[in-house]
Amino acid sequence: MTVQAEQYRPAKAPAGQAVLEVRGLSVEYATGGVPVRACTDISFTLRRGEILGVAGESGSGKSTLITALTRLQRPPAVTTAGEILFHGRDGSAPVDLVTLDGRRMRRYRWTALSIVLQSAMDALNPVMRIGAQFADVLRARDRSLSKRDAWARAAELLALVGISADRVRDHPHQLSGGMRQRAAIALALACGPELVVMDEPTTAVDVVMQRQILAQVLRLRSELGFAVVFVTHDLSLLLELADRIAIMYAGRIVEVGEAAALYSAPKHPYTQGLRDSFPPLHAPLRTLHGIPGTPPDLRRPPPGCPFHPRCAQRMTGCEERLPALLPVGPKAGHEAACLLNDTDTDTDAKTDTDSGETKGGIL
Amino acid sequence: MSTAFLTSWKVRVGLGILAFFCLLAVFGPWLVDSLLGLDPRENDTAVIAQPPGADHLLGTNQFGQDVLAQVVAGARGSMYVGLLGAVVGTAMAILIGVPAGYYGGKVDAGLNFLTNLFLVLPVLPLILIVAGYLEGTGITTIALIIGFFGWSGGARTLRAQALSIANRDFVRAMRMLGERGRRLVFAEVLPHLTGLIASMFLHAMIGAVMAEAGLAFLGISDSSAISWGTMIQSAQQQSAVLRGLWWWFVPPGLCIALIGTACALVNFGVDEIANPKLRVARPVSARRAKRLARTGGGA
Amino acid sequence: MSTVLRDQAPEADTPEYVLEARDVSKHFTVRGPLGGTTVVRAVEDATVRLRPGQILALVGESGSGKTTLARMLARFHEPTRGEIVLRGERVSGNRRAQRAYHSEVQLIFQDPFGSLNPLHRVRYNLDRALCLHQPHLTAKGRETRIAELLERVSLTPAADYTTKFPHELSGGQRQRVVIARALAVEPKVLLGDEPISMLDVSIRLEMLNLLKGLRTEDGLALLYITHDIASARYLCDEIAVMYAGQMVESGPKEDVIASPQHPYTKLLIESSPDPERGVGDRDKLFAGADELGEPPSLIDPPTGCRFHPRCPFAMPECAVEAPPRTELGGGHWAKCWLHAKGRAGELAGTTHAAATVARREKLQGAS
Repeated sequence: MTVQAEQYRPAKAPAGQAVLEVRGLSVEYATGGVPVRACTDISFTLRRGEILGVAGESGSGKSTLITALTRLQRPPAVTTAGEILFHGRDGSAPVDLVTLDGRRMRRYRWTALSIVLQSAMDALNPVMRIGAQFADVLRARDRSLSKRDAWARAAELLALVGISADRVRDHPHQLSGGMRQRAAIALALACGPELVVMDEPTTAVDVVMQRQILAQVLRLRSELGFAVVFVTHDLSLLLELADRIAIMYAGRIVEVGEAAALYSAPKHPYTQGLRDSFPPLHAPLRTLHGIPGTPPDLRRPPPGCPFHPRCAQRMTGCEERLPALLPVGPKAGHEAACLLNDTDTDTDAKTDTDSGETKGGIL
Repeated sequence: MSTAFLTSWKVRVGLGILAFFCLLAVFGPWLVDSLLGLDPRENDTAVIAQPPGADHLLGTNQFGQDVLAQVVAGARGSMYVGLLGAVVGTAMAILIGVPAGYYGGKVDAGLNFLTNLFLVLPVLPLILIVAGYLEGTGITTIALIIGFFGWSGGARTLRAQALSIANRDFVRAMRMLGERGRRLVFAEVLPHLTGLIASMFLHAMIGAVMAEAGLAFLGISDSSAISWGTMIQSAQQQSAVLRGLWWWFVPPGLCIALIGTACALVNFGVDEIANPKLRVARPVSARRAKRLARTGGGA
Repeated sequence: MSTVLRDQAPEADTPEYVLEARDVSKHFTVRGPLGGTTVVRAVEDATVRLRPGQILALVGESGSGKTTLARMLARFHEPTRGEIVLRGERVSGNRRAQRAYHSEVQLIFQDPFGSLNPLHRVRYNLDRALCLHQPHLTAKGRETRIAELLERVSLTPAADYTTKFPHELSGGQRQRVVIARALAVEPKVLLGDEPISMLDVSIRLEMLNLLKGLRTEDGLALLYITHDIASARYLCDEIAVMYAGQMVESGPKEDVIASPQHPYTKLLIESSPDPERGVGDRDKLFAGADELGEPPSLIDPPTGCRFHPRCPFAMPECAVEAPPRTELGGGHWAKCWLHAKGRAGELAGTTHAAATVARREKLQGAS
């Protein structure tokens, strides 16, 4: 299996190098009178072979972020600001996916970045054999590939995710939901992408199958070296799976850092609340409360920190100042956007203008 | 919902046309009589087959009757047949389709058999036979016959919808509370079908207007009654097309087409409201999205 | 084994359990495209008993039959075999009995977006429930009762919510309305069919706390159906685990989770995310977890123990005969041949993944 995997391994690039840099990305929905800002000022860097988890509740903007990253968004959603820099493995200059035209974007799909959706299991064409769907993708990239070779490679790819090769002649309905989801992951890996975006890929499957899929993603990641953006509402899952985690709330990243640091020492009250929303499986039980209240309506976001109406540690100033995402804690790369961590008064001026801008933009 | 309904230009235009014809049907004949002093039945032998002119705005026909007065009078006949036929057809579709879908089992089997039977009946020959059997087919009889033979397609659609709604959790929940069958049908299931029923009603109305015209054209109608169908039929009998008397058959034909267009417009509009997916790609929002992209958002 | 259960069942005149399902099975007949029929054995000889004021969690994956069992208890399906017993009396199928039954047992649906009619205000839902089940109340009495019910489910001030339509409420608020509607009946038993799985993560715990409060303050019995064993542990007293339509293990929650006595329960617990154990040691955590198998088809389930094709401890008898129920003390029982053969000790020493790897190596060595 590892021998077969060799063929799809991206050319070795130094680990730790960035594969995706997102800077100041904002996405708006232009419905009705006021545009709704679903993602505001999103910035993060994804390194080669890294798993970045993105956690958030419904309406946090995580799905919007994914469609923007993969350029799958449709009107009325529109990227209004920011850039998504993709660094190819060949070391050429980075390209901005936001401004790429449709034809050039198609070149990047599958070979550079691919996507696995929550409903990926239903995304397979029900009237085509699994192998034919793989062959379509493979031969669209490489015209010289013969039909027979494409089918053979489809069988190898299925074997990568633990589906026996003779299933290649099956139709999707002959596979169980978990198998279809794994086949969708294999399809995403067909052209050796450097980055795989996964949108809740395990939400529709059971816990045992979820475990299985995650273990396979981890194994394939170490064999093939692709980076992963893994989006889910289930933080407990990410804590076990991801290298780094970004927490989203009301369209912004409120905290980002290594999984261990985020779990043991969260610096944003929302992260704390989210972490404590999962009852423990073995630790002693105590009464937990989750986070009271409901997420804000993005058509009318609250002024200042969007979390302040639900925050138990709210202070004066929270309803006026929008905190910036600043380094916190002892670990490098751990950042949080909360005034609680704001010991340096020099940042006041900056955050003030930020909030002023945002208010002017949305109201 | 009720205000969102009117924001679509299609709905507004469609409803406007329908309202115009309804008003025309109600007040038109009286206006024509009192303002223009015209009688649709009066034969003026001095002006036979005159093209449109100052005296007769839409000209006159072979019998010296004023076409405008006939079109206005015909509006009453055609709209009456359309409305009555649609009411009868829709009511039967509701009474047969909804219980079939909601109760299922034996009730469904029986009612569905009836629906399928009417669906495969050769309606036109049957109408011919029935109309022939009931001597002296007045305009009301025609409307009733059209309604009675035209409900089965609608009943099928309603049955499918009622079936899916009856299996929704909120109906289950109310049944678990002990709500009784009839109330479940009328308070829980039926309100969800209003959009569909409204659209069916409009369809049925176009259908009935057309069917009446068609039947009149075939000569099955009360020849003394004036409707757009009878107008076209007499134009046909007098070879109006061959003789180039276009002002005789174009106005009633145009009216029928207009009613059809109006009903279709309202249906499109209602569809867009009921199904937001048809709305997102509206040029307005796409334009707005593009503008936003250019200016870099509201900030 | 079922006779053993009947012997233990209390006399009908002093019912210890408020609601029981005794050896119920449900088989669905599915008609194929060519007219042939297949039978789906969704639930097979399942027994559930609820004491007043008890919370029992029914844990299993999708297709394990837990929802079918709940729907039988809610009288949406008639059991193919076995009986539903309310306060020691067998429930008959006629409509009048059904209505009486539903004044004691109410089901909370999974989807709060689907279980409220979008065209009715909150008040209508509660008012209908009161009209049907508290006919002695006047219109004014119902109005005050509606306010009480909304406050009971923490929708305060109640006046803000009575005139709202479902689409004006968040998922959590809707589920609270659904619970209030069920409470309007004044039931003795609530069945919760994954009542929190469609809600946002951050508000799930408050919903569980509300359900817990209904037990401690109002003495309701609750059957909590879930796939999430961690939330089951948080909420309930006892856990029953279902696999492929059968109950495989049941007992006090801490016993079951700390020392599962059935290989499937063990697999389920090991597969559930638990950040406490996980962060940092990822490779070890996921070692061997990429081949865990899948549940069988319920049309043609495996003979003997339905878990044996996936079980790393399987013995020859597992494929032949269904395992007997073994009482393990303290109300904890499991159906597994390991107990009958004195091999139960093996369960604690290993993980499912490690045992699978060891078994594969042993088989390869033998061949």
